[in-house]
Order: sequence, then structure tokens, then C-alpha cells
Amino acid sequence: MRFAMVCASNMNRSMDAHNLLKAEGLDVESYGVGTQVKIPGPSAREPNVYPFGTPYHEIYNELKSKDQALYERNGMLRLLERNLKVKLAPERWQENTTKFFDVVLTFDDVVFDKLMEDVRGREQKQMKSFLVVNLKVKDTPTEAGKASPLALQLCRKIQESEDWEDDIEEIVEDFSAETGRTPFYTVCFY
Amino acid sequence: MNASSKRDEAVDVFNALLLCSDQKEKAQKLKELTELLVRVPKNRELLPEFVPRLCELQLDQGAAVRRELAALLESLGGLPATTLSSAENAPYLVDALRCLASLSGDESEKVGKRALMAANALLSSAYKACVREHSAVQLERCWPALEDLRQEAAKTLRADSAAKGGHKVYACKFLESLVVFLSSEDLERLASRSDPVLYAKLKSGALEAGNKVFDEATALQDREKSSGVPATVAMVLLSALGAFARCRPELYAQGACGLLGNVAEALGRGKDGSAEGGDGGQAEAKRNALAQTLKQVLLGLVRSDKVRSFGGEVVETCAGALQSLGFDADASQARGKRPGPAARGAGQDRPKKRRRGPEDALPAGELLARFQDLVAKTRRVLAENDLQDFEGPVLSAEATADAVLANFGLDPAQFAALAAADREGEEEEEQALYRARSAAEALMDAQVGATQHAAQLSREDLKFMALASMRRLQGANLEAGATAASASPEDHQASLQDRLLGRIAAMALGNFWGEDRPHCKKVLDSLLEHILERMQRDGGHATAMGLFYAVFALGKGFRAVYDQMLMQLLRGMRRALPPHDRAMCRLLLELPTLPQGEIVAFLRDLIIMSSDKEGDEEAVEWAALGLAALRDLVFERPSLRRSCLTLSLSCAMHNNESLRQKATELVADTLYPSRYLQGDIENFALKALRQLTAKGDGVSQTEVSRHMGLLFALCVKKHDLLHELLSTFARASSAQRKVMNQKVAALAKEIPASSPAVLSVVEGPPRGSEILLLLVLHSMAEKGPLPPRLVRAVQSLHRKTGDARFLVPIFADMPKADAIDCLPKFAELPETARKTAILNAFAEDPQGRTEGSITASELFVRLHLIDEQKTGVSLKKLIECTNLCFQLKEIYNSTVLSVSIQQLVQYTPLPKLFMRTVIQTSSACPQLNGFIVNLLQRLVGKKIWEDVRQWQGFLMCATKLQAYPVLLQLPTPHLQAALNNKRMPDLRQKLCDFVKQNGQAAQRLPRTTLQALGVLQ
Repeated sequence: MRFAMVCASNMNRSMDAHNLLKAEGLDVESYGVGTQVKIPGPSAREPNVYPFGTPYHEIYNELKSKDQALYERNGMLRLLERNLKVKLAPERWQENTTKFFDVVLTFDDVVFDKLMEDVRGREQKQMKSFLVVNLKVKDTPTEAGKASPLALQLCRKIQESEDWEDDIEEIVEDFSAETGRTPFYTVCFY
Repeated sequence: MNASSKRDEAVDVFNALLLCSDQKEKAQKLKELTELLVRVPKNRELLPEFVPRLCELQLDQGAAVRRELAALLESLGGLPATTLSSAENAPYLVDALRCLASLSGDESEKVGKRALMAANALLSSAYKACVREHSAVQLERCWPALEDLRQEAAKTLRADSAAKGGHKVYACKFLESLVVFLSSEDLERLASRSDPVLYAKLKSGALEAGNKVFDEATALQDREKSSGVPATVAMVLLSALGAFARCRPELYAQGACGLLGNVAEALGRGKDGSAEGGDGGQAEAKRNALAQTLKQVLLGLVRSDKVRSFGGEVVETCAGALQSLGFDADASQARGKRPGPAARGAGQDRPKKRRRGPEDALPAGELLARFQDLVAKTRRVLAENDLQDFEGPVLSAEATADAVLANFGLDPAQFAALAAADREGEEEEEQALYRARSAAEALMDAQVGATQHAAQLSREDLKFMALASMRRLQGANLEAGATAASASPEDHQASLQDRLLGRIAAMALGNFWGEDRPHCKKVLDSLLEHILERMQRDGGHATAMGLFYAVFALGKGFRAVYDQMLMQLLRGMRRALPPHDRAMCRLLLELPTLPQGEIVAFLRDLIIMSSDKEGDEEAVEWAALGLAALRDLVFERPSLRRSCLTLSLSCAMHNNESLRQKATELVADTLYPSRYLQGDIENFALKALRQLTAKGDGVSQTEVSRHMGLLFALCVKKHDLLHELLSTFARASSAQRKVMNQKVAALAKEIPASSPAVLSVVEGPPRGSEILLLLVLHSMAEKGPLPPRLVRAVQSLHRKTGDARFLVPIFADMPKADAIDCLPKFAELPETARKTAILNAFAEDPQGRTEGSITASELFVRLHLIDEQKTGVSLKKLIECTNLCFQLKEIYNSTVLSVSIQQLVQYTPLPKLFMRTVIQTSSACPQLNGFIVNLLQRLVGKKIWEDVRQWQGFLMCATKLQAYPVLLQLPTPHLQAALNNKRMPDLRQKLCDFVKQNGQAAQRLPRTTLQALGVLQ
């Protein structure tokens, strides 16, 4: 079973989950749905913006050269250090047309909407179903760190099911009872 | 690798697969074959050979194998479009889809789900290939298999518990794909031109599939019922409704959005209810998930250009639904994206009309001039600018018609922007698109402003303008028709004039129906007259469509006017058009709605009254046209299907034979192949037959034919009905039996002897139906060899019943040993039966028509060998049998007879009829006389005198053939006996003469012989 973790910039939440699921041996990829990769800067109005595809190590070097203390303090350098061990560069969901997944996990309502907008616009060729689940997580390194084990737990349950189309209602109910989080989901087709 | 080694490799893998006992290994071999046959382009030429054989694996016991088979068939979707779209290059596509249809109902849900997934992907590829290659032939060939798949999918979706969510998800998705593909404009264009019957089938298939989805989705409106629908299935149902509306808004948007709106309301209420009542967590999670899915579906709709251009009402429904779900921001955004008034429904959001006093009205002449100016400008904009881009969502003829109509009395200043756009002629070329857009937008802007202005016109102005502009438009329309006369009527798209005429009529009705009906009637009469005039010249169909759609859009309050207008037009067409003109059929198919009762009554009159005018060729053509219309309506108008089918069926039983025959052809050949009609048609035919049997003997033969014709025609299409026919025969009166006997031969010629239905009736024929069954078998035997299975079944029936008549049709194809065993019974059959059997068997070749069956000479010999004592067959019968053979000279020619006699002569004692046969042969084939004389000589060696009966024949034959040398070879005592034979008094004289004439020969004769003759003392 192939999983995709999706957030806005493929930097924090999706990468945290990607890192954990990969370490646990799941077949996983990660993506962002935004137009560009945005990283908090010195103020809310001055974010660092990079095009998708810019390698994590380049971003790391640039931030470090800009203001090492600031980016160490807000955790961005630590986050990038982890990311560059997972994969080369942030990837944009909309640009991927060759890899197909069984389960896509989004971490925000807006991300879910954007992803669905993209899915709607794609031509269905294979007629194969996939599950999109949205687990709402605040975009901070701490919250992302807390959410990743939940994502792993949910993905494991789905993977263990013989047929998720039959079992998804029970899976979500169990997950909800165990974690107190109720994700929502939908069915899409490639 | 050359062709044969490729094939050898594939055959090796296939054989290895068949020999595997392990499921996993088998599945692995199937994967290998997928790689080998599908993925390697060079090997694809082997697919026509292998796919049908692989499809047989659907019966394999291993679910894993069947699943892998579905995957292999799915991979065929990856073939190039040129291959997939061609029935010649990919004949196996039918097999593949048929196999998937069968697998989709598999006992294993996993196999069923996989098969539906594969079928969906394969359908998608085939559809795209056909559209790309502009050929619907492959789709037509695959249609029955797709119908089977549709039914399986519908069955799965409807099943209460048998199929779980996963299986149902794919069933629903398949139905969605069917609707989306079959309703697509691309396919419509392709099929409607190349093959109207296929087009009708596709439309009806889409409708059936769509109905299933709508039916299932209806449950989601109800909180209790929806709890039984798995969340995943509900999601796919909702998405399917969205896909329908996006694909063809004009067909599905209103229905689908209405239903989505209701579901949204139910979900909205559920949210409140669960908050109050404390529903379970699972219900809440499901509700939440469904609400999110529905939100996505609704957003997809409001963001679709096609849906938006269809009308504001639909967008409003979607926005309302979003609001019900609690997505207020999305609802507001949806409303903000609504199109301008051009695309809005009539009357919606318009400012209230303020009646202007006569003093405010502009002079009518000026208004008309402005109107004319606006029409001209609009045409210019369309003609001069590259407006193809806008014809769809932004500036369709429909929208332009709205714009023009809304601009009665427009202030010319409103067109400043338009004029400015017109003047910008010298801009650079790359700005052409921009200019075109500006012009279109300017027109739309102008219209927005003018809507309010037009609303302030006085009603008298509107009335006047409606009539005047309608006449002008009619004039323009006729001119345009004349210039486009060379194009075929089917190519005529609805023009701006067509749209406008309809709109003006609708406007007149909408505004004045209540207060000034004569005015409305005048407008409508004028327009209907114009349509008829155009129809007589070059079409007029588009104008009629414009009118009826516009009146239809006025709502149910005007349905009576609509119906009246339609009937007026149809009657007019009946008067004014020639019967070969198909305009009426087309009109009936494409109108937005039809009044069922009136239309059926009209067609009944058209068909039946025309048929009553015997000898009137035009009347016959009208009846044919009526029947063609019935056919189209049955396929394409589900609401009229039942009544039109009933009318077709009643025509198939009409007193008029010519009409009955045509209607029977329509029902049996065209309607009956559609599965959804079969039940009704069969019931009708059987009921007609039952009515007949209930009447007993007092019915004329014509009446019998009238009641039976349809069932006979259906039997050709569905052989299983043969059993029903035989049962009826068993109960029938003698008059009825007579008709059935007359008709059954022709029927049996149409049914292949290999049909399982034939085997089934032979294995268990209804009691009392033997004669009819015999006639069926006779007809089949006349056509050619019967299949061995059928022959065995008939033999078994013969053993069971002891009825030797059953031997006749199978005699030619029975195994030789069985035929020989049956000969005594064969000999006892009436002569006509024996003759039929022999002719069937040997007319083409005395060696027989089936390998291993008896030959003509063997039959002849075996007839001679029948033992009277043991079998009880009298000698007289046997003589009749051999005489019959001699009558059939074509079969029993000199070769066959000589071969037979040579065989017979070897038996000791000689068969009783031997010498009789030899004498008959010498008469029948004088050319064999030399052969017979030699035979006589051989008989002398066999001491023929010892068998008294044969001895007499011998002497007769020898004398007849003047075989004197043979006679002179007889031992003296026997020669003496022959000479003393009273039946041949002149034998001595003849022999003496012979001896005298042949002195040399006489010298070699024994002395005793010469003494016996008296030549020597």
C-alpha cells in the first residue's frame, strides 16, 4: 500500500509524518499543495519563499547564512536538517502525475480542499480508487511532532484492513475512540 | 524473434498455466502472459488467438486466478487507440468485456470488485479510442457486453448485503462512467451521425445507468435509509451525481443538483440532530465525511463553466446546499461567481416591471430600427470576431438571443462600447483575441444595462414588436435557409433567428396568455406556419426546437399550450410533408417533452388508418414512418416506452397483414433484442397465443396466423421459446395445429440445430407436441448435418417413445451401427418417410453426409440382409424398400448398384431378393449388362441351381440378357432342367440357334450339352 503525506509546503507536517512512516517501513512519499514553499522569516510579513524543487540543503544553507540564531531558535534549521535526510527537495502535489497512492493524508482543511480541487481537474484514466483523509494539525513543529504518531497509527490500521472501502468507517471510529481525533475522509479515483 | 517462436513461447506459458495445480503459480503464469502478449507490442498480433482462450479461465476454481484474469483483461486498455477502436484489430474486446461482465457477478466479492475495476478502465480506454478515431463500430460490437456489465453493476449496487462497500463502490463508479461516456457530446456527435440505432441504444443505456445511480442516491435524502448505505458508496454516489451534472448540465444538472441539495439538507439536519440527540461517534464521523465530500462535489459544480453557463438556478441550488452544510463562505463565493443575467433563468432577479404610460413609449418604428440595429451588431460581432471561444459558456446563441430580446428599446448610447470595439480594426494581430473578448464582454455589459430598460416597455409595444420582429425574423430565416439549402438538414444548428423566434413566442405567452389569448394564438399560428414552410423547404427543425424549448421553459403552467402546439404541428406535418421525410421522427425524439396520450393516439391513427387504405402507396409509407417513430420513442423516450411498445405490439397483431408483418419485424428484429423489453414482448406474444387456445376450434386460419405470428418471429431470436411453442401445440385445436405445422418449417430453418434450446426440447418435449417437433427436426435435417449431441438426444427420444418417425430426420447423421440396428423399423416406415430419410442422407453424396454414417450402398445391402423371421418385416416391405431405391436414380446410380451387387453376391446363401435386384438393375442400368453377365457366370460357379428361388431368377436374367454362353456352361442335368422349364418354352430353340451360329464355340462344348440341346444325337 502506498501512502502520501500532504501539507502546504512539504516542510513541516508532511515531512514529520514522512520521516516517521519511512522509518517504520511504510511505502510513503510527501508533498505540498501551496504555490511556493514558505518558511517563517523574521516577521509574519517577511516569509522566506522558495520554489518547489529547491533542495532542502540549499534552503538550509541560505537560512543559516541569513540569520543562524533566528532559525535555530524557531526550529527551522533543525527541521531542515531532518528533511534533507529524508529526501532531496520539497515536491508539489499538483506537479506529480506519475506516482499513484492508495491513501493520501492531508493535514489541514485548506490543504484538503486544494488537493481535492486538483484531483477534480485530473482526467480519470485508471479508474482505481484512493482514500483521502484529512487530519487537522496546527502548522508548528511541536504539533507536527505530536501528529506523526497518529498518522502512523491511522495508516497502519488502514494497511491492516483487507479492504479499506469496506472498513473505513470502523477504522475511523476506532481511531477516534483511541486518540480523540476525528479525521474526515473521502473516496477519489485516478 | 520470429512470429512462430513468439507464438510458441506464449503457447508454452499458456500450456504450463493449464497444467498448474497451484493457484498462485497459475496467477503468476497469467501475469507472465500479460507481459508477453500485451506489454510487448510485437506480440500483440497474438491477442486475437489468445484472449478468447484466456477468457475461459473465468471458470477456474481459484479466485486468485480469476482476479488475475481481470487484471490481464484490464491491461488491454493500454493498447493503442487505433487498435482498440477497430473491431477488426481488436475483435477480442467483446470477449474481454463479456468475460468481465461474468466475473463481476463472481461468487467472490474480491473477484467481482476487480472485474468491475477492470471493466471500468477498459470501457474508458475503448470509449476514448472510439472518439479519437471517429468510429463507433467497436462500441456497437461491445454493446451487449456493456449492457450485461451495466446490469451486473446495478444488481451489485442494489444488493442489500451480498456485496460490501468495496464491490459496490466500483459498481457505482462503473455506472457513473457509463453515463458520463455515453452522454458525452463527443460520442453523441459520432454516433448520431453514423448510426442512429446505436445512438438510441447508447442514450437509453446512459439513461438506465443514470436512473440506477439516482435511485440509490435518493436513499441519502433520508436519514434512516442513508444509515444503511456504506460511507464509501454514498461518497461515490454523490460524486457520480456531480459528474453527471458537469458532463451534460442540460440533461442532468437540475435533477442532480436538486438531489444533492436535498442530501445537503438532510446532512445539515443530521448535524443538528446529533448535537441534540447525541448520535454515535461513527454516525457523526460518517456525516462529517459525507458533508466534506458533498462540499467538494458542489464546489466542482459551481466552478464548472458548463454548469455556470447553464443557468443561475442550478448555481443557486448548489450555493444553498453549501449553506445547508454550514459552508457559508463557500456558499457566498459560489454566489459571487454566478454569471450575468444572460445565462440566468427568465425573470429571476429582474427588477419588478413598472408599467409605462403610453406617453413614455418610444415610437414603434424607432424601436424596431433599434432592434434591427442590435441584431445586425450581434451578427457582426459573431461573424467578424473570432467568437468561437465564446460560443460556449460566454456567448452561445442562446445567450445572444436572450441579450437581443432583452434589448427592445435599447438606448443606442448603450452600444458605445460595442461601436468602440468595432472601430479598433487596426490593432495588432496578437490583440485580436483580446478584441474579440472585449466585443463579447461589451455586448454582455450592454445587455445587463438594457434588461432594466426593456422591462420598462409598455405591454402594447411588446405585443407589437413581438409580431413585427417575428415576421422579420421569419423572412430572414427563410433567406438563410435558402442559402444553406445545400447543407443537409441534420447539419443545421439552431441559429440566432431560431432561438429568437422561440423566445419571442415564449415572451408573448409569458406576458399575454392570461389577458390576450387571441394575440398569443396569432403569434403561435404564425410561427407554426413558418416552421411548416421551412420544413417543406429545407428543415425547420431547429426553429421548432427553439419554439418548443422556449415554451417548455415557461413551466408546467404552459404545458397544455405546448401540447396543443405540438399536436397542431404534427398534424400540419402529416398534411404538408411527404411520408418519406423523417422530420417527424427527429422532432419526436428531440423535443423536451411529449404528451404521452396524444402522441400515442396520433401515431395509432397514422399507422392504423394508413394501413387501412390498401393499395395506397403513400399510406403504406406513412404507416412505415409511424412504426419508425414508435421504434425511436421506445428506445429514446423512457416515459413513452411502455405505451409505444404496447402500440407496436398491438400493430403486430393487427388484422391488416401487411401492417402486421411490418410491426412484427419491428418488434422481433429491433425491439426484442433489448433485454429490458424482452419480458413485456414475450408476455404479450404468449398471452396472444393463450387467448387463441382458449377459443378452441372455431377460429379461422387467418385469425390463428394473426395470434401466432409474433411468437414465431420471437422464437427465431430466442430459441428457448421453442418449448413454449411446442407446449401450445400440444394444447392447440386442429385448425391451430395446421397453421403451426405450416409455419414451423420456415422457423426451424432460422434456428441453428446446435442451439441448446433445440437439445432441451428434444430431451423433454411437451407431451402431444411430437408432430411439431418432428417437423422442426425435419427442417433442420434438410439444412445440413445435425450435431452429434442432438442426434444422440433424438435417438434416446426414439428409444423412450418407440416412435420410429424420429429416426427419419437423424437417419443421415446416425452412427452407422445404430442406423443398421434401426433398419427393420426404418423399413416399416411409410414410403414418404423413408424417401425423405434417404434423400437427406444421400442427395448430395451417396457416401453419406456425415463421417461414420451409413452409405447408400451399405443401406441397400443391409436392406437385403434383413431377416424376415427375426424382425417380422414382411418380404413385401423389403421389396418396397428396394423398389424405392431404384426409384431414386440420382442416388442409386450404376456405380452404387454395381458396388452393392458385388457385396451381395459374396453372401451365402444369397439374400432372398438378390436375383430380383440383379434383374431390376439390368433394367435400370442397361450399361451394367456386361457386368451382370459376368456375375451370372460367377453364380454358375456358386451352384445357383441349388437355391430354387434364385435359380428361377438366374434363368430369367440369363435369358433376358441372352447370356447363352453362361447357360451352356451349366452342368447337363441343370441345363436339361432349364430347357424343360415351362416358363421358358423357347429357350431350347434359342440355345440351338446360338450353337449353330457359333460353330467354333460349339466345338468346345461338352458332348452331353450338345446332346441335351438335341444338336447331337
